[in-house]
Amino acid sequence: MYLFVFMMPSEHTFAAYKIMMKKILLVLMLIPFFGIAQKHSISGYIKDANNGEELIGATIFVEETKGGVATNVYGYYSLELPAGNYNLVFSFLGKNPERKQVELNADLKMDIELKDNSVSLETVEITAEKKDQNITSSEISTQKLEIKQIKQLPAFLGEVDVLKTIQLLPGVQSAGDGNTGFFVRGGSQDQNLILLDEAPVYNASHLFNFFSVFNPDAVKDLTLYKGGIPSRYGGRLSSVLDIRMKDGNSKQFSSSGGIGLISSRLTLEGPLVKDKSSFLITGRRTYADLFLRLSNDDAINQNKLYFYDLNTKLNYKINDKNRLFLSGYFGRDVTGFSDIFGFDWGNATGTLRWNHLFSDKIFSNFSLIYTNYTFKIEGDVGPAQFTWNSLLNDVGFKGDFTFYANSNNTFRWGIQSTYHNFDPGKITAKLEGAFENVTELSENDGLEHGIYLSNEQKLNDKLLLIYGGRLSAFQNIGPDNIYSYDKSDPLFYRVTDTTTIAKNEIYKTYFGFEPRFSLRYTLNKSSSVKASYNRIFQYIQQVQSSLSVAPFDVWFLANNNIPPQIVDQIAAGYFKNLFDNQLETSVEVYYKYIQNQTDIVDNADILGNELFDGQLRVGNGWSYGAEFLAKKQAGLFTGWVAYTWSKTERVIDEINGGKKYYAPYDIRNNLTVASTYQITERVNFGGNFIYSTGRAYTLPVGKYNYNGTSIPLFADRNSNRLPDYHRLDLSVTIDGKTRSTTDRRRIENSWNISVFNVYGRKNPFSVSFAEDQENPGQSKSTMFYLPGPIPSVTWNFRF
Amino acid sequence: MKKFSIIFLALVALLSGCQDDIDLELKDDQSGIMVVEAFLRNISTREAIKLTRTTSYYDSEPEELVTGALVTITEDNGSPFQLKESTNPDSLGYYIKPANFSMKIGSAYTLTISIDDEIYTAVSELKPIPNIDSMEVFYNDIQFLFASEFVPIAPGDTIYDINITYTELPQKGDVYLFKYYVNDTLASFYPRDFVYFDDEFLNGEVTGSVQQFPKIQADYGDKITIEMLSISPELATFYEVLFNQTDLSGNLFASSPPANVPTNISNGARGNFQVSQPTYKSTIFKPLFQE
Repeated sequence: MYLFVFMMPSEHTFAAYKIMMKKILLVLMLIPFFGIAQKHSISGYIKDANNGEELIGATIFVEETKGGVATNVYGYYSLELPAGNYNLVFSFLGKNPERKQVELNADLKMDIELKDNSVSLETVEITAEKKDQNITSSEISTQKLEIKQIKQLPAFLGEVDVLKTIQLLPGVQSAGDGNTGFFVRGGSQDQNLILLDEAPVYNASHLFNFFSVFNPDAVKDLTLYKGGIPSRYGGRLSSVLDIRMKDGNSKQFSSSGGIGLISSRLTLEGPLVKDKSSFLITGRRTYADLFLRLSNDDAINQNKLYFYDLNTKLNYKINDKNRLFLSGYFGRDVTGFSDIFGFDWGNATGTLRWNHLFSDKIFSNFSLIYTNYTFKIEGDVGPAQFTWNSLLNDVGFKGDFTFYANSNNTFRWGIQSTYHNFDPGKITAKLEGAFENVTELSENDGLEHGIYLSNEQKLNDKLLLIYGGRLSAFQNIGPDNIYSYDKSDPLFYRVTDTTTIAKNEIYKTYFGFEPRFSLRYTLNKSSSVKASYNRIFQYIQQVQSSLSVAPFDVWFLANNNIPPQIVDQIAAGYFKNLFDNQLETSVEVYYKYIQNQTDIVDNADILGNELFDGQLRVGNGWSYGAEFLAKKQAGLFTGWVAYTWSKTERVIDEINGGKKYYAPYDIRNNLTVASTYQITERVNFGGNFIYSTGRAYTLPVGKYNYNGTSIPLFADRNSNRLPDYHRLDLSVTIDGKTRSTTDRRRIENSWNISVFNVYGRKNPFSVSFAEDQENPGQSKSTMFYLPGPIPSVTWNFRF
Repeated sequence: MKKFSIIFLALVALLSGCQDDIDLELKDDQSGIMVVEAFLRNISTREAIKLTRTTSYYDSEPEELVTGALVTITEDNGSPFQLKESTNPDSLGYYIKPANFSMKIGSAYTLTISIDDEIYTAVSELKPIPNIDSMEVFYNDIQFLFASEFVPIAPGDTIYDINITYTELPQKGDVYLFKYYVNDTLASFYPRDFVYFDDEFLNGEVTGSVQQFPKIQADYGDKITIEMLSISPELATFYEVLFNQTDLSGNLFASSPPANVPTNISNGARGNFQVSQPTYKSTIFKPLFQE
């Protein structure tokens, strides 16, 4: 209110306004400096004693002040304390905590290694240290998963898959049985930002979504942000899935791998230069196609259907202040039918990062990021030929800074710029001697920029605030074709005019201001409340015709016809730990509103269509819900139970007659259970159970005949429901005997047996409506589903 | 995109897992809605439009025919001409355009149907058609390896190509529909068998066009006739959508989500009204090389 008064435009009041601003700044930033005597910093890296991997999110607790910090994604921490004697406790889930006594009279560097805590059956040791990270951190709507835990849960066809595990979290819904596609809080799949070592992954699936591109052996840590998305992330509305690759064992050379029903994995890692450099290389290939070749049937044995991927990482420690990381991913899917038809696609990403410490308190990282996605379809049947090559490239730069100013303030700022080059490609269809039809889909280029600043401020023992914002900008660059549409028929837009944009011409610029805010208020030692608000702009989207993303679903940039999407999300939660932090529980509610939500028009024709933007309609969407989670992380029995109630709706003038309708992935109730139970020292059971009410679908309300064809008459879009979804998966992991070799190396091996969909529930992925061909005149509904149960077995080793 | 979609069907068959009939509880039954099937050619034979009503989805009863409607056709701003209902008990629900009713190229025709205080209207323009200059029919030895119940092509099926040439008309927005006859009997009956051409990329050019008709049942010596009809772009879309929503329904990659096939009839009715100018060319089907 004061601000409003002072903002009257006169010189006198402008001065007053400036004074006011200064006061506000003082209040926010200087108060924490009051009464501070001499202070020193303690900083360093926390690592895994087994392999030297830096631990992400490990905590440092100061017993005297009851305060603490956590390590960043590079395992670095920094905190500031007045001179004196302290007891520090370094801890990480699944590791024995380390207690260190320090006498602080100068800045201190302290690298710590944590050892595994082995679960012993006889004495269930529950470490009594603070495990209340979920209570004290400001993070809301954020889920971290341990790769170790993911590996113990049942896996579809024996392939451990991080994307399928996150579908078991509250607020996350699956695109279908065995499908890696996921939807977060009523957001579409293209609203998920999936990062692999900071490089965005555009199509995270292998084999038509049955598997994800993330080889579990290369993954160190993953964090899913569903709300309260930090300022350093931008560009996607609904979630950020930040996946970090392992750095490679810096202690000794080791290899690990697995042999499964459909694929094999092998990882090699080790030090290159002692204490300076280590590497990791891990590969995976499926071999279903090798079995196909054994078939006597020519229609089968000439088929190709496999994928492979390769993750590599190299790090080099120049000195205490400078480190370099180089990470790469390359994966391909290859499908083919004899030599007449081939369909290949895949991602390649590369990141070069430089960590630099300007001082113990200023941590910085600079990244060069490259990502590439391509697909190729080729058909060759005698004189008839068909080819389609498509590619997408991103080249980006990023600089991130963290300033651990003092024990109450951590500032983060950074800058990011990405060049997008989307070339949906050229489609050639030709019949020798008859015709050649070439459809050249126009290239889509753009620049996306972002700068951000935020501060994490501890106002007092109870209240923690994070406030800041991001300024984003987007520019379309030629060459491009801009289409104007005649929109008189809302169902079918027809092109009236084409404007050709010259190469390198910037023809459209969008700006976005994205405030971000979170707070945590501690109620007592075991409970807290948290709240957050975020606004995000999304400048690139994917046109999708079905719930399941297809490899050829085209990504495109915001343009004159399709404006950027904007989300405002508020989320609030209550967090309570029970039984001495053994059981973490939380309730979160969220509401999000999406401006410029797009959806495809009825009967959209998207495949290889140059005029795809005429197939989309723009409106608004919203989603709200409540998420309940109970999670047990320690002990013999671990896992979680999650229940989500949510509702996702849209209003788009040209769709459904302008009436409100449900998003195709709208699911009202969703219950998931994921658990593992260590039954003996060697045997571990895992189980997943999912129950959700049917998702929104368009069902027929009648039929009619036209020209001898029976046509279904449909009700309003997504106004009906598919049957309820439920499924149980079970697994058992049996550790083999551990053998020690002479040089004290250990050979470990384990068997994993999984059964997907134990009781063979037929969960429809889609339903079709057509005339019964065996019984003309009679219409029927046919569902497509993944049959079950599907058993699998995998053997894993490490030595 | 029809041909394009077919490329993916083999993949779909492989990846969509299993299929099973499912009994879904269908709410909000909307039977009894007017359905108009009106494709009137400008030729000197009797043509009919057919009026029916929608039925419940799982109904196996024969379609419900609409009798007693008043059906008229009006040229531009002229006076209405009534299409009389057939008196033949075998063709109830059909309303007849007499052989001597002729239409004018470039005129717009309004179809008006009134029954039980409800009035349904639709407008269609009679567009011109070029002459077919030449025609050839030959056997195409492409062996299709993809089998799918969605597409009327089975492995080993042969295809016959009907190759015609004509000069595309100068104005933009022309769409031609092709049907063929074997010994004067219509052989492409279902919309999935229709082939159409639009002039988006080849406006006004001399066009050599290969029209592939799968599953022609013809022998050497048969008379093959091609019928080329002028239609609106909307009707081409209508056929394409109809194919997507029926033959490709539920297909994971190739189809769009369930949605109603569009209509140009007012007042909530389904179906389509089109007036069309046909042109014909015939040839005798003979081997390319004398054996």
